[in-house]
Amino acid sequence: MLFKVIQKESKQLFSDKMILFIAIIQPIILIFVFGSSFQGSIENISTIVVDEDQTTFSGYIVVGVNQSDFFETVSIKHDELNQSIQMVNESIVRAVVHIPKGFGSKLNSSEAGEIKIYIDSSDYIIFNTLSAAQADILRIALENITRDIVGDIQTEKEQKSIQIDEIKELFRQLQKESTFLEADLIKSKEEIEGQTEDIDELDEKLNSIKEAINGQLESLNNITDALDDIIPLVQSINTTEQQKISTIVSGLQTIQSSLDQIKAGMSDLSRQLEDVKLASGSLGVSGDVEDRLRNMDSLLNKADTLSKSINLDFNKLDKGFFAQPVITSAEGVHGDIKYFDYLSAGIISLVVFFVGVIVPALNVIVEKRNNTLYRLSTTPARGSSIFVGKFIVFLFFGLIETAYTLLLSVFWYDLRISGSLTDALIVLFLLTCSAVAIGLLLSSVVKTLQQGLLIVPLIVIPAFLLSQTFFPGDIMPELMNKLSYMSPLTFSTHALREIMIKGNPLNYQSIDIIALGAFTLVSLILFIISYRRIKY
Amino acid sequence: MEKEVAVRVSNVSKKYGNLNALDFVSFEIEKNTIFGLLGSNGAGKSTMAHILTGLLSFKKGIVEILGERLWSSYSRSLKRRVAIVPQQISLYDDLTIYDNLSFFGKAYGLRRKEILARIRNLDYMLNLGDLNRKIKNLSGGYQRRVSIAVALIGDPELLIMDEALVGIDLETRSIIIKFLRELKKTKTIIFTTHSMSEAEELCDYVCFLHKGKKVMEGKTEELIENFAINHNSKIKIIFRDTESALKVKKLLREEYGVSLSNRTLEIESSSAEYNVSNMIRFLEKIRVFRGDIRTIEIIKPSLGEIFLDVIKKEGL
Repeated sequence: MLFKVIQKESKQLFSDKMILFIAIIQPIILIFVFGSSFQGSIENISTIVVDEDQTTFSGYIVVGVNQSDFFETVSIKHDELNQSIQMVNESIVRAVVHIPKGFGSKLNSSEAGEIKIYIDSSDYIIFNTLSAAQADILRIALENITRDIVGDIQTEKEQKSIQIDEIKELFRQLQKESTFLEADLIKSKEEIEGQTEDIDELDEKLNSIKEAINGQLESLNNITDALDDIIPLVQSINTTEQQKISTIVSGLQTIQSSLDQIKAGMSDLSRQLEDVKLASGSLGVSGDVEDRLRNMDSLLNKADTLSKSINLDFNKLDKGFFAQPVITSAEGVHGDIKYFDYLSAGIISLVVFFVGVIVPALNVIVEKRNNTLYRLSTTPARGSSIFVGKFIVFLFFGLIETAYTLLLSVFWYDLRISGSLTDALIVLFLLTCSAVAIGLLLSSVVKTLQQGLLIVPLIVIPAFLLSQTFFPGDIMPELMNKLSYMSPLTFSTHALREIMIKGNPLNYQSIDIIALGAFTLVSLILFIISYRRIKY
Repeated sequence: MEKEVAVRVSNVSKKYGNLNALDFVSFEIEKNTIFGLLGSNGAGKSTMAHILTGLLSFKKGIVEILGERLWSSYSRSLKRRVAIVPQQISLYDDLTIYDNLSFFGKAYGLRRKEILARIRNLDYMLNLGDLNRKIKNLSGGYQRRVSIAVALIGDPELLIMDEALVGIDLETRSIIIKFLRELKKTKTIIFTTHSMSEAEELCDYVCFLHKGKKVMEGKTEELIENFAINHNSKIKIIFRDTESALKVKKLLREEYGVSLSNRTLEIESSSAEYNVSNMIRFLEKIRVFRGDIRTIEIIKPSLGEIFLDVIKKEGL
């Protein structure tokens, strides 16, 4: 018997070509719609930057917004913050990055600079993503600053290393001259008898000069090495590594102070040389010694002049930007919303749409199966009376279902309805109209109850997946975004979010209303055409 | 006096691909008669019924219903004058008898008072029982009665019944047949069936279809009489005891085809032998057994036999 039952059921199942067709086409449609609709990445969200500060610092933030994958700057303004926020409210753009006046000066004076991002919080996913994307702006700004600093250091290093090398060469010559001077002094010591103590003192001073010269040379080598070392450190900078940032800042400060010390050392050397000159003059040393001292003086003057010309210019290197973190904050233009609030527009639409489609579809299919529709068609009753009557009842049924669903959502889960409840009901009423019309259209195409039960989910589920309930349209793949407008749920979900989350009045939703009306009208026209072709 | 014609079908043809579902079929239906459209499965009677009910379009031939030329579907005026009793019950299961009648009454454009009056009348004629019962709770027989009542709520001139007596109990069948015989005084009824006995019992006039062609038509009684005269018939004699039956069988078997079953003797003979003189001769022959005979019956041919004989002779 078991085998016979299997045989019979298989025969029945596989003899209905429509069911087989639906069974084949259903997974293709569902997987395609599901897979493709949820493929988009959250990026290029339309954003306005309001830069009231217009400083180098704010410039880095503007560039940070521009270069972030999350944002797409549609406009950079220097004022009109309120108008820009209104554009977010109307979902013309999704976010506004506001850099207030005084942002740069605060950083310069080692205070925290604050930037604020106003985000369209009617879309939970975008709100949460952009809230997290604040760090991305800072990261890019810091990367740009770092790149500029490294560039500065490298340029400075390249430009000044020649001068440093020249100074080094001068000091090497000074080293030689001082060695020769020492030899001259020894020679003079033999010539000038009885003044050995003075000559010893002079020799001591000369040794001091030699040590100072060696010290200066070492300092210059250290600066070159420090510049070489600091570049990879700057390149590896990261916003979270405050300690590293401090190290860089202190390293740069050390380089600058080393340079200052070298400059100061030049003056000391000059003074010491002057002392030697005076002492040698009073001793009446040979003219060679005097010439050598003059020569050394001249070399030292050159080195001093050169060292004064070396000034590491790190003006672009705004240390404050590293030292004081920039504070960012995000504000939802429509306040904080729960994920439930965000999804509820789509879920309520789904409930209403599903009931709206399946009830009339099954009703007419059952009437066709029971032959009552045929019997009615043999009476003088007008088809329009029959279907308008049905339409009204299903609409009424749909409205009760709508009110019931809304009440459950409000009382059980405190559903947010910022706008008018009546407006929300009107949108759902229009959705019910289109659902009933689509249900009637399906009923005229479908022949059996089984086919009806399979084809209704085939329409409802893709319509729901495409409806932008889970994934905003502006981040969906372009094709799926366009396809989503073939679903009436897209329009009802959008209109309901405008009313329930943003609190906007119904007249803001004219496109959604027209679209839902069009779905109803087109479906009804197709149904009338299809109904006339029904074969009993 | 010339009879009025309710339906006129003239050279109607209908093809499904290469198959001739109807092949130049013509007939006329007089008013106030029950017209039987007969044939086996696939004969074309359903196709003809669908054409007559306006469900099926046709390209060749002419159909006139109640004086109105039928092009494809019914006009609204024709829908008021013609009602259909489908083979399927076709009622709203979850509604009561009253609700169904009332709903279809409105579909025929009747006012509430008219509906109430007609429901009362139909209830009286068809014995519908408690009108507050839901259709789904009724037996098949009652559902059939309600189905007929629904068709008649609009008081049509022509009633088309498509296999409308299938699967009903004897009581309902008897009530409906009696009702239809009464109904034909005021209405014309087209009755499609494959049951020859049903048609024989009910129809005044029958039209046989076979493989899309009309093979025979005529008044039911005349067809049977003519067939009986021109074709073989049977005489059935029921004896009081088997012994007498055996004796008569021996007596007759040389002259007639005889078969005996228990105490019943069936005698086959050619129609020529049933003229009056032959019948007297036959009765004389078995006269001696008159005390042993309970009944003598001449069995007329049935419509079924006539139909089978016709298609056999025509080689169809």
